[in-house]
Amino acid sequence: MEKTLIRKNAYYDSVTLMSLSSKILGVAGVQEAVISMATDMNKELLQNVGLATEESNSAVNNDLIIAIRAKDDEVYNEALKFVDELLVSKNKEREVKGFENPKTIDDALGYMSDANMAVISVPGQYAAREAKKALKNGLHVMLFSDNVSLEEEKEIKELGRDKGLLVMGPDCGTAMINGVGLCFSNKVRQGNIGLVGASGTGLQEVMVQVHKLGGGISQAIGTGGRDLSIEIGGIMMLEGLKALSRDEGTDVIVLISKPPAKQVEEEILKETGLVNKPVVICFIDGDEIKQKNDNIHFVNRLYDAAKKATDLTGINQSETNDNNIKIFEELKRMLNHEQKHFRGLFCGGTLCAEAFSVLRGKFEIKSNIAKEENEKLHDINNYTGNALLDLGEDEFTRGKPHPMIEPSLRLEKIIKQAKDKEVGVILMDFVLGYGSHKDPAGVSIETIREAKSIAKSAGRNLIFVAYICGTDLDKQNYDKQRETLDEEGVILAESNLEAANIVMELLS
Amino acid sequence: MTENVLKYIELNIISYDEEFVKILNQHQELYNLGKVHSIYTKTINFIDKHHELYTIASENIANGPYFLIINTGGIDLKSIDLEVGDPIKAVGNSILIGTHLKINIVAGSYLWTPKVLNQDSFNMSILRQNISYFNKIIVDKQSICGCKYYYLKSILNINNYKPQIIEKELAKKIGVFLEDIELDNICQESINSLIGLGVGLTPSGDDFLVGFVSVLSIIANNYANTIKKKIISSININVISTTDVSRKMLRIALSGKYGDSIFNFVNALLQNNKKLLNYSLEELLSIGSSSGMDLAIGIIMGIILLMKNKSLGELRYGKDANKKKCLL
Repeated sequence: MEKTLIRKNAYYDSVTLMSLSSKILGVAGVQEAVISMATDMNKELLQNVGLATEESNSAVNNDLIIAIRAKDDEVYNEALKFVDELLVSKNKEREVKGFENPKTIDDALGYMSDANMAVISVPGQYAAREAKKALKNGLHVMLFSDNVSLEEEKEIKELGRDKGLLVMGPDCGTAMINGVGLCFSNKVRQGNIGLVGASGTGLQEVMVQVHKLGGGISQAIGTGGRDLSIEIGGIMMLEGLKALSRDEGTDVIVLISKPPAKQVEEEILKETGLVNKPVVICFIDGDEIKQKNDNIHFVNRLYDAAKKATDLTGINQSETNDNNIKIFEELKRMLNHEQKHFRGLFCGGTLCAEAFSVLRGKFEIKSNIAKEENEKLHDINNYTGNALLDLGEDEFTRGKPHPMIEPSLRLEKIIKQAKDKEVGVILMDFVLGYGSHKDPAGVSIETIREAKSIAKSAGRNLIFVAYICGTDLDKQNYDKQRETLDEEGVILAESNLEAANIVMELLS
Repeated sequence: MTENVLKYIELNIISYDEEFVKILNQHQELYNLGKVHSIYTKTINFIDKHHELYTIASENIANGPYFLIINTGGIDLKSIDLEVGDPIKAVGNSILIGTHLKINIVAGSYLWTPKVLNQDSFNMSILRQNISYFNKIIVDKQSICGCKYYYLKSILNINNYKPQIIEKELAKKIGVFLEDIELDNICQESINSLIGLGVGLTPSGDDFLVGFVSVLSIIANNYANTIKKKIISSININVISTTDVSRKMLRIALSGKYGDSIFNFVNALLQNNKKLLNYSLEELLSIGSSSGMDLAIGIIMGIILLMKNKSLGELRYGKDANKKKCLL
């Protein structure tokens, strides 16, 4: 019998190949063996000696062919042992005498061979390589790293898709898989609403709101912010959707993203049409898409996505009581005629994006996340008028920790806005949960107090509007966070959407 | 989003060739020069965006075109945590490879250039004597799956060696190739049937041709140049079926370039210096597993061809260009 093994793109030194050849030929019952690169001449040789197979014929120059003619299967398998011995890369279990921090994915697997997920956070130029290693070892990947090229992102996502593995990222900060929060994630009630999001704080906001509305989350799959671009084509959004449609614990699916490329949108709609569960599609700042499928529900705000999903599960929580209306008039009177502007200082990118989407309908705003040229904030240190800053963007975080981890980054910004006589309202988010600072409100309160004092001494009042993205189960003690801000007179919104609406109301 | 402090192993560059100078000078800081193609104990190959292959080699490896020689202090390059596909970047006077290797240009790193023969005549009896010495060595040297079977059978008339299939095939095709040259009937078919044939990363047929063509470039008399031109015109390097590394070696040889180990052996064959011959042969035979032997046989067959043609009286001279030049 003749059989061929092909090792794709395999580079082994001649000594190894010679050694293998000798060992195989030394097995009793092996009649012939040829181990060579799959060049045309070598393949012709295999043909001439009757060792060619379909696999060897379709191998290419840089592939290694191991062609064996053996008496029977038993002899062949005996010969194969040498292949494993000499050509398989090291992946030994380590004897744990004293735990040493593993330095590679292989090392880590040595300590935890039953792991099924790798969370990768290395500089961008190495991230794809590590992701590939993890995928080749059968692990799902959460890729926290950014600065990965589009080509690499596509490559690893296609690899993941082909292997039936999730590739969450790059630049994916939030996920919750089987009840386990990964990177930045809130602790929420487990339930039957599954999320797939190309947006970290977008996922967090929907998770948190579902929890507040009495619902629960089955899974929250992050895809990374570029997944729905034309280059990537929504690979992981589609895979996440398929996974949730098969997941027995998920009854309603929510997809969250900024509006995708048109072609990608069509693909997603097509796939959504095949799902036998209700799907809520939230394209933030997107237009409603007219379609005939009653199973698909379109919204363009995060709170609305959570509300719709929760309603679809049969939980009908009443809307938040809008007590703030009573005090709006009083608050408006606190501002003088010059104080026409607001400044948003955000840790969460999607929270900033949603606020921007709500407020730009009413005001001229500049932001570092704006797409339109006339709304783009070009100088992040020097601006006037209304401005929303996503402080988690690269221009602010180069060499520094993310503001969700270290909120003190934005404290100097708070003081700067307080000194601007045209600013009446400062809008902020406080993100709780895994990965976030242990006391976001606490670390900021002194500065909020100081800012108010600065404005006061200049004859002005300053209004702070805040939204706490968190739940009563988060480690930062949600009630304490609220109390800290409330005692300082910060106006607290129940959702990110409401916070933006409050600002709109105050300054309209 | 997360900063990692990377620990690099730092090694110094001993020498580099003009191709490395070109790619380093053309690019800006942290530009991706290319990515790792393959990693071995003593060498790391990388390819640039034009798919040109370069080699970073340890000090045990002789210099050559597209080679950068580094002082490894004996460490196995495979033991450094590098992967195929790792980026190669230029940073100041250093090259970063992946996440763990940094190689530095230091005072004393020099520009390597190919050696050129510097003698005006040959002594035929010295040549024959040296080839006899080579014949003795080859019989004892352990080498399988390469061109050795051809040499033992066809040149030394030794028939007690049991060849593998590939060796038989190689012997047949080398015979046809050499016959075609002697009959002035060089054709694409006989050359191409050698290319890609053989075991290993650089198939034996390719190594044979590299050795053969290199000796023609080193001797560089009229006859050698004529043969070489005919061989070049019969090979379309871009469509031949062989491995990336071997294609690179062939391309270098066909462009008239060669490494130190090839030159040293050819030069030693022309001298009356057994120590030099011994040393240069050892150096050449240490390349790969059968590659060194296959190169040597290619060289010897080239010399034998020129001896048969009686053309070794005509020699092209050149200055020794192997001058050490420090970059810093």
